[in-house]
Amino acid sequence: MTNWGCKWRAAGFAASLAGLAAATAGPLAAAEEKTPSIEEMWQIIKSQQQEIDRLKKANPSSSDGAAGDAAAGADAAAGADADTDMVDGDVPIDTHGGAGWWERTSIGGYGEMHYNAGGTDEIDFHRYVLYVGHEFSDRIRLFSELELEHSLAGDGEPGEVELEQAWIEIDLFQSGRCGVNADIDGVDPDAPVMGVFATPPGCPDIGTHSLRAGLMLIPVGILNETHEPPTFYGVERNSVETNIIPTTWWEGGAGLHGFIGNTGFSYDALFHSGLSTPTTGSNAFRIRNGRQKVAEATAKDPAITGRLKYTGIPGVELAATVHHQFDIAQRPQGVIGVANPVEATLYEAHTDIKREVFQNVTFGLRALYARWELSGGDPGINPTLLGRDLQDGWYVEPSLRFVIGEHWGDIGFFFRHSEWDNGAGDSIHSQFSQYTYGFNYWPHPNVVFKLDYQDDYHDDVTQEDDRVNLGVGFQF
Amino acid sequence: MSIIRWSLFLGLAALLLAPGAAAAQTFQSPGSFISQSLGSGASGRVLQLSGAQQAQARSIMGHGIGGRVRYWRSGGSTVWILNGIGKYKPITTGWLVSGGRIRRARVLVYREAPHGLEVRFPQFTSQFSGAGLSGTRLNRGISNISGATLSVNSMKRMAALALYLASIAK
Repeated sequence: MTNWGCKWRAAGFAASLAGLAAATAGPLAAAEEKTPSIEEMWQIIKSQQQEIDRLKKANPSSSDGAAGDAAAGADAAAGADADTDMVDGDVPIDTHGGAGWWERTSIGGYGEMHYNAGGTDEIDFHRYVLYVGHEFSDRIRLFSELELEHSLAGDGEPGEVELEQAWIEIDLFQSGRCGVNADIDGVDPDAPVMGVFATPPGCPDIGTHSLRAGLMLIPVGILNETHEPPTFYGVERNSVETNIIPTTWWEGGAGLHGFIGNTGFSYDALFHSGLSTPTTGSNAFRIRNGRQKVAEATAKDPAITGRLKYTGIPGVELAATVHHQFDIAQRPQGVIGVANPVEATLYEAHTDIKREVFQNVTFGLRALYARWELSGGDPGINPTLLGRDLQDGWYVEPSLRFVIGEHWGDIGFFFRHSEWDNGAGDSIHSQFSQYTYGFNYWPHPNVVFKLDYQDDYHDDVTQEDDRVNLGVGFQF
Repeated sequence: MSIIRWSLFLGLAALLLAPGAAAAQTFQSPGSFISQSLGSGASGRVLQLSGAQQAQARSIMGHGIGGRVRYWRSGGSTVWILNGIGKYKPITTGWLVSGGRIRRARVLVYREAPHGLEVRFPQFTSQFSGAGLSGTRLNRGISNISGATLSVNSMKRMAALALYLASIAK
C-alpha cells in the first residue's frame, strides 16, 4: 500500500527547502557582489592591467610620473598624430576635391581714404578693392581683384569700377615633391621616433614654376604689384612710379613665374597686350595715358616683360625689369602717312630694404630708377617732338619704424626725394622735383593712419601743389 | 612678327601639356621634422591650457588656439607643429625649442604659393635660430620679405607661440 501521506509530507518539505533556498539566494548573491573573494579581486586586477597595457600600446604615453599630475596645465600622455592639424581650432584643409567651394575660396581686400589739402582741397575714398581667390584644384587657382575708385562710378561721376586682376595660375613644377622627407614605406606615421630621415639623394630642389594667364599686374617697380595701404609710406602712391612705370599698370596675356630652387632668385616672363598712347595733343606719347586696362583694348601690337628678383638676403629685395613694346601707339600700318611703329623699351631697377638696426627699430630704404626709351614714328607724329622719346624718374626713400608697444602698435617716419620727367628727351625744362616728409602709424599691422607734407618744384609753378595729405587705410 | 607671336603661343601651349605636380607644397612631413629634431626617445604629449594661458596664447596669435596643444618632447627639447594663417591659408610650421630659444624653424606645408613662398627658404627661417620671447613678441627682429609681409608676420607669431607654449609645458 502506497503511503501517499508520507510522500506528500516529503514533497512539502522539499518545496519549503526550495523556497527557503530561493528566498535566501538573492541576499547571499548581493552579499557576494559587494565583497568579492580575494581570488575574484585578483582576477579583476589582472584584467584591468591587461586593458591598461593594451591602451598604452595603442597610444604611446609619457613616463608614469606625468600620468599622476593633476595640476592645471599639466601634460598628459597622448598619441603622436603627426600628420594632422596640431593645434585645436584650426580648420583642416582638404585639398583633394572633397571640400566645399567655400573652403577653397578666399576673400580679402584693402581700401584707403585721402584728404589732400593745398590746391587740391579734396577728400576722397580713393579706392576700395575686393579680392576673391579660388582653388580649382591643388595646382590651378584664380586670383581676382575688383576695384571701386572715388566712391561713385557711372556717367558723370568721378569714380570707376575696374577689374584690376583676374588670372589663372597653373603650377607646372613644385618644389617639395622631390624633396619631401622620405618616410620609410610601411612605417606607421603615428609611431614614436623611427630614426632620422634624410632627403633622398639626387633629388635637388628645383623650385616652383607656374604658368599664368589672364589680366595681370605687370611685374615692374615696387608698388605695381604690392600697394596695399599699410605696405608703403605716404598717403598717395609715389609720383615716380605713378607717372613713369606707370603704376598701377595691368595688361592681358600669359607668362611664367617661378622661384629658382632656394637660391633666392625668382623670375617673371610675360607676353601681353601693350599700351596705346595718344599720338597727338599735349599727352601724345605720354606713358601713363597709354593704359588701356584690357577694356576692349587695341591688341595690334603685343609687348613682352621680363623680371629677375633676388630676395636671398633677409630684408633685402633687388629687382630689375625690362619691357619692350613693338608699337606703343598701336597704329595701323599701311595707312597713308603712318608708316613706322613707335618702339618703346622700359628699364627699371630697384631695391627695397627693411632691416632691424636696434631692438624694435627698423631701418627702411627704397630706391628706384625707371626709364622709357621711345623711337620711330613718322615725321610729325613721333615722340621726339615733345621730348617724349625719353621719360624717366627716380626716388630715394629712407625710413625708420619704431615699435611703440605691444598694444599701441608701430610708428614710422620717412622722407622721399623724387625726380621725374615725362619729356626728358628735349631741352625744355619739364622735370618735377618733390620732397615728401611724413609718418605712418599702424595700430595694427593691417591698419594705417598717414600724414605727410609734399613740397613740389617745377619750372611752371602752376604745376606745383605744396600740401598736407592725410589718409587712413586697411587691408584684410 | 606673326611667326614670333605664334611661336610664343605654341610654346606656352606645350607647357600647359607638361605633367605638373598634383599636391600641395609639402616640404617636410611633421613626423619627419619631429624625428630629425628630437631623434630617438621623442614622446608625444598634450598640453592642457588654463584659461589664463589660452588668453596669453590669444594675445600672441591674435586668435584663440583652443585648450589643448599636441607637442613632442625629448629631454629638455620640445617640438611644436603649428598652423598660422598667412594671407588666406594656413602655413604649417615646425619649431624646435630648447632652453627657451628656438633652435630650428621650418615651413612644412605652404598653401598660398607663390605668394609669400620666400618664407620657406633657409635664408629667412635661419633668422629665428636663437630667438627668445619678450612678453608676447620675439626678442629680436625678423627682417621682412617685400610682398610676403603677412606670411612673415604669421611666422613671427607662431615662433612666439612656440616659445610661450614651451615655457609652460612641463
